[in-house]
Amino acid sequence: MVGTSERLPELMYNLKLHNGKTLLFETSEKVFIPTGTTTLLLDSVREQIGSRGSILDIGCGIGVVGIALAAYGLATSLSASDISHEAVVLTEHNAVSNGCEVTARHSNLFEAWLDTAFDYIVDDVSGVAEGIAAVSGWFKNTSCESGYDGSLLTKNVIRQSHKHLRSGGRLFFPVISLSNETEIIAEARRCFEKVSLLKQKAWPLPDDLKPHLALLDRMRNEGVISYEEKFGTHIWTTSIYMAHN
Amino acid sequence: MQSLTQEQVIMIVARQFDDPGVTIDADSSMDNVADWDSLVHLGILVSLDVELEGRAAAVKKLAACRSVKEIVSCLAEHQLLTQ
Repeated sequence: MVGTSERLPELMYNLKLHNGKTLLFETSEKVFIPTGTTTLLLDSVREQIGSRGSILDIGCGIGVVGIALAAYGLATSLSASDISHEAVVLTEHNAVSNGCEVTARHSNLFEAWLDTAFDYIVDDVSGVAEGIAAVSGWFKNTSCESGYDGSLLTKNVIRQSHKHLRSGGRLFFPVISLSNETEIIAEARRCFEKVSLLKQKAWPLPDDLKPHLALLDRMRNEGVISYEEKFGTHIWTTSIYMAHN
Repeated sequence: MQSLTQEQVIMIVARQFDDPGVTIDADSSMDNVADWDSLVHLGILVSLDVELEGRAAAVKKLAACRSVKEIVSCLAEHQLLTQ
């Protein structure tokens, strides 16, 4: 994780960076609240980016990943987009309040970036199986149209990314084991020559999913999701991948 | 891997902390390392299980261990530690 993060009162989100800086983000009940996956993604990208470059934060939410990468001095330019209008407005606001420049656009995946290419694309679109997302607390007032197995949006980003990456560019994407990881990685390997796992983190099943174990069991038996019962709890994972040619 | 050394256990525990300011040694525990919370603890257990090729999960007592010493002792009891 990139330092520590915590939710503050009045819908503020606090992110402590490794360089000692703290970034404050305004958020809203209507947008996705950053999770451990967000910070794991940020940490992985920060460690991998060897030289500064243009960054697209796709599925930016309130802008945490992109703005933090800019705060680390890794962005020659920062672009960000989200399907939520409110998220885009908050990203613009948070960029200004954290002293960073951003081109933020409302966009369904790459629709607003048709003729633009980047050195780094960081994908954080919804990637949880829809049935699970619906009963989880992660998407209370936000959309998660990621398909039955949760792979739809991530696979679309992977498929379209090569058109939006400059030569030598890299795509970073998280895969949650509460989605069809096998399908997503197979798609990445079809589209890119190199796909590597950067980081993986285990999480206990959140309380709001525990009453829905029958659903989770069924989806696991179908091969749609994966989790394990170990150490007296149910464990699922976030894996961060990098893809490039 | 058939078993771990104490040094390897310490390395596995240390890997769970992203803060370079956190130092882990044989005396480290949930009581003296502020960032060693339940989430970090789960990460330690899962990493031990990966390194021990699934055999750590069978050690029921391991989840209750609160320190490097307890983890090392527990692994030793189950022949998962190389002295």
